[in-house]
Amino acid sequence: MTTPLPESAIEQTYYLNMGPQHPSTHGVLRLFLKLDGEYILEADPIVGYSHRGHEKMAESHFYEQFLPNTSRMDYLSGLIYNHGFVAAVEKMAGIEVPPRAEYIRVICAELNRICSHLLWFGTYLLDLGGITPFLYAFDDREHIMDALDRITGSRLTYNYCRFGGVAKDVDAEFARVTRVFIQRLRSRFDDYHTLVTKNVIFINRTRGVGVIDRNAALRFGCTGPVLRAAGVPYDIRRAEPYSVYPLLEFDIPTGTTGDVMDRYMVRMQEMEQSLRILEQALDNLPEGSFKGRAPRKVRPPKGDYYFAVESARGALGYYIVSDGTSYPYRLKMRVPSFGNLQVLTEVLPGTLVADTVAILGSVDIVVPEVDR
Amino acid sequence: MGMIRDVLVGSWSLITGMAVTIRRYGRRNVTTQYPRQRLEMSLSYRGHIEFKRFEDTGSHDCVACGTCVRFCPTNVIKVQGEKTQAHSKKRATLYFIDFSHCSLCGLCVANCPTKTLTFSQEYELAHECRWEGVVDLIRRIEATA
Amino acid sequence: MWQTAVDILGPDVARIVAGGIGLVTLVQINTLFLVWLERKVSAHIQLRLGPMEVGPHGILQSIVDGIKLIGKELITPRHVDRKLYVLAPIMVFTGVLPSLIVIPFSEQLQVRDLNVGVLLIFAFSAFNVLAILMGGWSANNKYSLLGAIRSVAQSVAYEIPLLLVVLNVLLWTNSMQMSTIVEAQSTIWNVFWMPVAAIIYLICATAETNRAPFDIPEAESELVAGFHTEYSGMRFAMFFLAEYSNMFIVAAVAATLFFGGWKSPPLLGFLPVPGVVWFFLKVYVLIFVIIWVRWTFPRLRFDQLMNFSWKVMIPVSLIHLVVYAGIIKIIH
Repeated sequence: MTTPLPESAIEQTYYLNMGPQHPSTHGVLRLFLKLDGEYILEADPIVGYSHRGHEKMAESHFYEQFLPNTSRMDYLSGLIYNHGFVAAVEKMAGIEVPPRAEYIRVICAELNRICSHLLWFGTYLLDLGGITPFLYAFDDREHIMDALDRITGSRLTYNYCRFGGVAKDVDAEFARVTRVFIQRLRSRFDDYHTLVTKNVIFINRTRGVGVIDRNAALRFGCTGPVLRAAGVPYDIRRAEPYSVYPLLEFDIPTGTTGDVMDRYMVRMQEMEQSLRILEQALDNLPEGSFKGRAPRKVRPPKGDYYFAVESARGALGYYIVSDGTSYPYRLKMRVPSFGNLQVLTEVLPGTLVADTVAILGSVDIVVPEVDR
Repeated sequence: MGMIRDVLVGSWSLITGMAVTIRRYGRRNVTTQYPRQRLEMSLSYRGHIEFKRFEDTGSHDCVACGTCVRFCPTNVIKVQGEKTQAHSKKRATLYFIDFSHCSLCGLCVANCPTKTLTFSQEYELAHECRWEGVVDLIRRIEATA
Repeated sequence: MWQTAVDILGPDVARIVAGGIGLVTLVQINTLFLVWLERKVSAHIQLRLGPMEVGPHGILQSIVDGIKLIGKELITPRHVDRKLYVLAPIMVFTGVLPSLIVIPFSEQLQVRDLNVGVLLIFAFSAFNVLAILMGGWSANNKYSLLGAIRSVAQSVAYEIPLLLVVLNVLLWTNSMQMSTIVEAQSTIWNVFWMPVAAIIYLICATAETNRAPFDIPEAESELVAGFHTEYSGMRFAMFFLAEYSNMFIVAAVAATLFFGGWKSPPLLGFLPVPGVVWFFLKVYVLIFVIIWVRWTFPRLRFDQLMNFSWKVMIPVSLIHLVVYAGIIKIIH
């Protein structure tokens, strides 16, 4: 007598939960995959495991009190988030920022961008199995964090930008340390290219894999290196210029096909462009005050305002609705990782399960940013 | 022939990659063997806040105005003060900060009207009991007299 | 004491017993040493120091780790196939001792000089594959099984070029006896005139022992948790100790077949260094190279790994065999 097999045993497909706790998802991301043997049929990212209610917190704190929250959303671009929020409120309330403060903000933002890309480089190779470049990247990051520690007092959750400028002035020692770091990182790039970029194992794992083409990237609202690797040269620093970026010369690296290798090269080239920006900003740092006049409790006029900056992962936007009091009525952040994550539902089907980690790592998602 | 060229180029890339790693082998380590070697914090490091000792009075100048209490986003500060004479400033008698919830924003330091709050350089703040995170600033400044 | 043992057991058996005891000690000391060496080498490559606390420069770290692992609870999940589950970690070690019996540590230090020494070693290395499959199957977990299957496929695929390359050496030496192979290298080591064979052998050896960059079964291989996911404590440690012992065997065989065994290097023959010391030096230099490779390269994806074996390694080793067979025929 034969017993009939259950449905799931006859079907070829099975469900796999690349769960919230996984060594390779950067944060608590849950990827619900429907697999047919080794090939992915459907991919469903489920977020929300890291939701802390920042936007709700903003409604019960006044604008100055929300500043530490900004660094904690995407902890790898803490200063850029600071900058975005502060610039949004300054635009609302009409607060003047002295040029020295603008230059300092740009220097810190670019250092933060290099820091974030170095960490991405290290952890991406860790996902692929090469453990050593992670340590080398972190050694380089130490120098950035030391430099930023000197002026802000913090290594990760900087709370440095204030309404009207920055909290403390930079001194000549900081400029010297940063210039030393720029020289050092330029020489390290050769090592990274020899160890990683030209490595045949790395090339085979990344070339032609996980193609996010221009169409998909534009439809899902991807920004940042994901979009630029697909061939669209969209960078907020050039498209909607803010701060002193119009005065600085830098290129926007783009890719051609949008595969993993292109995203990798775009980020490596972005680091080099950031070094260029840093040099120009350090050379042209004007004298003057580092903080303009701002009321102790900012009370912006009624209305809604939007301000976008370019974080390490893409376009970061702050949408603030003010009702005239010192508490924002609604604060919404448009985070780059949210759009970048959604594109996975289109890219992952058809790929091998073994490539999931490579593709996920290359999109560079920080889940606390997605969940806020 | 393209395949042979690929194999040769690939092998050369592997060998040069190995050369990079082995070059790092003889270099000095970049880590610090804590706790045998201690780390120096920078001057602007944000430890928990503490009172600044002014030279003229030899003590703090907290007037228990409550600005730091109102500005703190996480409500970790508790202050009480008393006024001993009619036309004098208040003086703080109790000042507690629950550092385990402090987010190091610096709003208290920035907005203190008498500039008596400043960041300390304490970084060895691991404690075993939840209430050990509560720092009594007045006792702290008196203890280091 | 040696005389009484010989009297009681007979010279052959006494030699085997003494050799067995010596080899077991060697395996254990070697494993302790290799665990420490790997941690130190990886640390220095990564600009840090590695274990420094326990003993000077962390020498006693492996012993302390072993004591900790012995003290852990041996959890046997309910759903496993109990006999195979318990047998698998023991089975990984079955191939280790017989392989070490025929390795010539020096001119006299060889437990048994079989005239099919090389064949014995490669025959017993098949136990490793069997044990991994047993471990993956008994865990009753589809991901363990997938990991074990991948490991078996990888081992089988890389055994072929391994054997083809070793055939070159056997053709030259005309014998499978390990001591004869070492003697045949008295004029020049095999690595100098068949370097490609040595390189192919080392690559295949790295793949056979499941070391990076071929460590899909061993590392946190993305989704599949690996064949040793259901093992805890000492049983888990046995798999890794077996891996280090396999590394030693593979390096020892490489040293014997290609690097002249216990013979001194070409120009340093005048140094009064015993053969045993040269042998161990060569073995540990080769192990250092294997460790160095692990910490430099990212992992190969599984299908690329199999492609590499079937489409690159096997054709290259076949062509190599044909070419060198011709050369050897011409020389003789």
